Amino acid sequence: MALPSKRAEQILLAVGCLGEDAYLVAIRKHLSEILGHNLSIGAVHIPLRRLEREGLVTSCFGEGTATRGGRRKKIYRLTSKATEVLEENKRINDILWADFKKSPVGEN
Amino acid sequence: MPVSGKSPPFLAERVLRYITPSHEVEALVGDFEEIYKEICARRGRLIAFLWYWIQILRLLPSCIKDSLYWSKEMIKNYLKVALRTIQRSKVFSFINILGLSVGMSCSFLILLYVRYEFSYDKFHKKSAQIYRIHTEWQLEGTSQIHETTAAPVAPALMSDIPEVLNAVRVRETAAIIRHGERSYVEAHVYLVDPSFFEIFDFPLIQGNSAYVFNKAHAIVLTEETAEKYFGRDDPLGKTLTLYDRFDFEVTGIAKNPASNSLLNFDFLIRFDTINELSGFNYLASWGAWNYHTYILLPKDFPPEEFEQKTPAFIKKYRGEDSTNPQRFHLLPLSRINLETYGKIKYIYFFSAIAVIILILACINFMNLSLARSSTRMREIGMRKVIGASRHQLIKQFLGESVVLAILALPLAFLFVHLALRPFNALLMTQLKSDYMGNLPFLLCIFGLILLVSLMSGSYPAFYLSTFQPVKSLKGEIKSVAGVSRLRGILVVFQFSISVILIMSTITIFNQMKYIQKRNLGFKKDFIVNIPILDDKLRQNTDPLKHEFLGNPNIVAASVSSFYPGSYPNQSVDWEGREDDEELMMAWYSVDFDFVKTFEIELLDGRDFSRDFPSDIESAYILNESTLTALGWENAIGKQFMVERRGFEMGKVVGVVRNFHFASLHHDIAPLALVLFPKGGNHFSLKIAPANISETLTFLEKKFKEFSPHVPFRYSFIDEDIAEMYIAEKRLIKLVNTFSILAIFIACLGLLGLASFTICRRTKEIGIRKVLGASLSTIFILVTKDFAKLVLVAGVIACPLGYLAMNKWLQNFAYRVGIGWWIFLLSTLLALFVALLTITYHAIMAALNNPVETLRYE
Repeated sequence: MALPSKRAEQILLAVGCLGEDAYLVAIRKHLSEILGHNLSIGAVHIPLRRLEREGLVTSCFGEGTATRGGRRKKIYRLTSKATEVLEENKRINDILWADFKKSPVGEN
Repeated sequence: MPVSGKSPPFLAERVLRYITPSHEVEALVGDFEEIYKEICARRGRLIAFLWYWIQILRLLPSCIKDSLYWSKEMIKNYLKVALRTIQRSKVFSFINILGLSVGMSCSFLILLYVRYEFSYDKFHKKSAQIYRIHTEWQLEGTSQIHETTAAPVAPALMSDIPEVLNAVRVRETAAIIRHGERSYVEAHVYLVDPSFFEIFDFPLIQGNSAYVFNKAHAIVLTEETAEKYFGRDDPLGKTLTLYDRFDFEVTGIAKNPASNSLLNFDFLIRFDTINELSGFNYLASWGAWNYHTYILLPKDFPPEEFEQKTPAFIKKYRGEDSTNPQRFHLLPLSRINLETYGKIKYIYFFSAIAVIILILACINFMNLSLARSSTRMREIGMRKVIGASRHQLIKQFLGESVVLAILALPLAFLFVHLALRPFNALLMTQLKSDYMGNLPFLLCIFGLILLVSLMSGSYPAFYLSTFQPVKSLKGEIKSVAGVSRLRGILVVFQFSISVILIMSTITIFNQMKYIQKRNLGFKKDFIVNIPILDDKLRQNTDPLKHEFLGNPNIVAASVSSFYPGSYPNQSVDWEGREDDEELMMAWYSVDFDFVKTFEIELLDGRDFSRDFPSDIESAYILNESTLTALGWENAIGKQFMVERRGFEMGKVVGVVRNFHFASLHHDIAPLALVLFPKGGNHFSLKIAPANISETLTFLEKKFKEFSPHVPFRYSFIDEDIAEMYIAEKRLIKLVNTFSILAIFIACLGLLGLASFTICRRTKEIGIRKVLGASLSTIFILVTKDFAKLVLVAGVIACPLGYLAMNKWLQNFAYRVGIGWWIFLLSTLLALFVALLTITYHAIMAALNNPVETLRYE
């Protein structure tokens, strides 16, 4: 199973959060707020392209708005494959975090 | 610059659209716009503008990567399909490839040739600064430019004109060279100044170029001549004898000069030996203009500046009131080969040939592709349905052309390799197929492939990409009227060229026949010509002549300076000449037996005769043209003289009918024969037709008795005459080859076209057969259309061919006419070949069993 990159995983999670509103601008905004710095469009768009190619997200077109000059949004949705991958990653992460001791390095 | 209003920058948006794949464009552009407006509101238009552009730039690498990836996939698919298409119709593909490779190999050969001709003497380091001096004379009212100068010109230039950095005189001469018992006649003996090695780069393998001409009688050999005379022995210090009188010491050996050099020497001796060798002070003579002078000017020095100084320079040495020569012209070294002998015309001619053949091959390709277009209908329909754009389809079909062209390449190389030797032999060049190391050449080849494929593939590509999906999937062929007409036009074009070429071949052949058959006004058969190279012999030819005539096989003998096609021009003086009248004409020194030996017709007066011994050096026989030139009705008894040193005024004793002493290119010019046996340098012996080899052996024996050290050489006068037409002989071979190639390609195209068209008509033929058509009717039906095309081609070709042939025949003062039968014959020939080509398919189609063809209706 292909492992998505860190950024790609974050994007997947964002897509899962945003639901109906998961289009590029919203995902970007969401992640930028959380990360604290502005992501470039390419940083979101390109991983999304790859994710779609690998079958981890699907897309469909939503409605156009005036601000977009009438152009429709491309809404992304997680596939079941994506959920599997995310849950697997979370499981591994949880196990790794479980025994984490917050002691500084060297002192014991 | 940001546009007014809240819309994103126009140019940036265009760029974004361009780089984004079409299925994402709408969403992405919308995303950009949304964020742009947000930033615009939040942080101002300038920041937003910059942001837009920066985002695009950051997207760029990934977009390029993606598009390359998809292109790679598409190319793999196109390649696969292309190869499958080629495999599926092997015959067609082969015909296509064959035609293309013929076209390409012609172009390669011609490219090689042009490159070779342009490369003459470029290998000298200073070649850009070297010029040859040509002299402009005002003669007979016209300006003539000759490539020769006088001997004192070079040293005078060096002392008078500072820009002349160096100068060298060059004279090519023939000499008999002997070493021990071996002697040969050498034609490439060059007399040069020592500065020869400073100006030109001819490296010496033995000897130092600075000292090699220190001795007055030094001679430099080439590797080849050294081996010829000395074998493996060291030649340095050995002696070679010139003209059996002058000893020269070998002081150096030069590397064999490259074939692409005008200075193709076998021997080099010092120029200033010319006084000694000829017995006349040419070195100081401003009246003998027989030598080539090359000068070295500073880098980038404009030759016109030099030329401007020359009129004054010439006047200084020829006298203030001299009118001739007028000035000097400079010809750059690299252009000399191109300008002489009309080489540049040859180059243009050949380039035109290459282009024409290439075009013919491309036309073939186009025709065949178009013909097969209906078989690709379904594929095109499918591709369009799936979503291929017209642009993509065009790319695909152009790609197929490129593949075919690449496949044709190795075959083209093979053809070039095979053709190289006969080509070299024909044109006396030395082309080598050394492409690999030569980058510009490889680039040319690459460019050629591209050009060929694009030229040939463009129309079919555009045509095929316009197929409408629905119609093509249904199997409805697009209305082919327009395309058929185009194909027909292409075939007509190909065959017109072929017919023109056939006509040319026939006409040239006719002219050559005429030249051979025409009565030249003197007897040329069975006359042996022996050059007299030995000075001693020349002074006293009578004893040898007597010996020759002792043999009953030798019917007549004469000594003269006559040689077909070559004659000296001298100014003459005559009775009743006005002060300002000048005439330069041809003349020969002959003996008492000349007119009889050659059976020249005497019209008036008498021949030279031993009864009149005072005739020597004072009696003249003129031809009719001389009388016309001088305006004389009656010439006998009038005073006449050729202005050669040692001659005095003589008188005319006879007039002969005009005979062709020069080639039939020229009208018969005025000619004077003077009785001057000592001036003769050829034996002309009329021999009996039987026992020729015996006679020749006898001649050699007797000759050797008188001149033991001189090589015996002979030729037949009729062969010598044929030599004058060597350019035409070459031309025939060329036009012949060219015609065959053109016809071959035209027939290839016809073959492909015919086989395809006939195949498509099998059902029609089947029905006709069922209804009762005979074999011959079917045959005629099938071939009728093609025959029409060829006839049309013939009609078009006739006027064009006539014009071209007329133009060429103008080269000859004496020529054949262009009969109407030539047009007919050429067209019929083309028709015959065309029918031959398609016969197989036509007969097969006619013999087809209608049951088979109509089975799956």
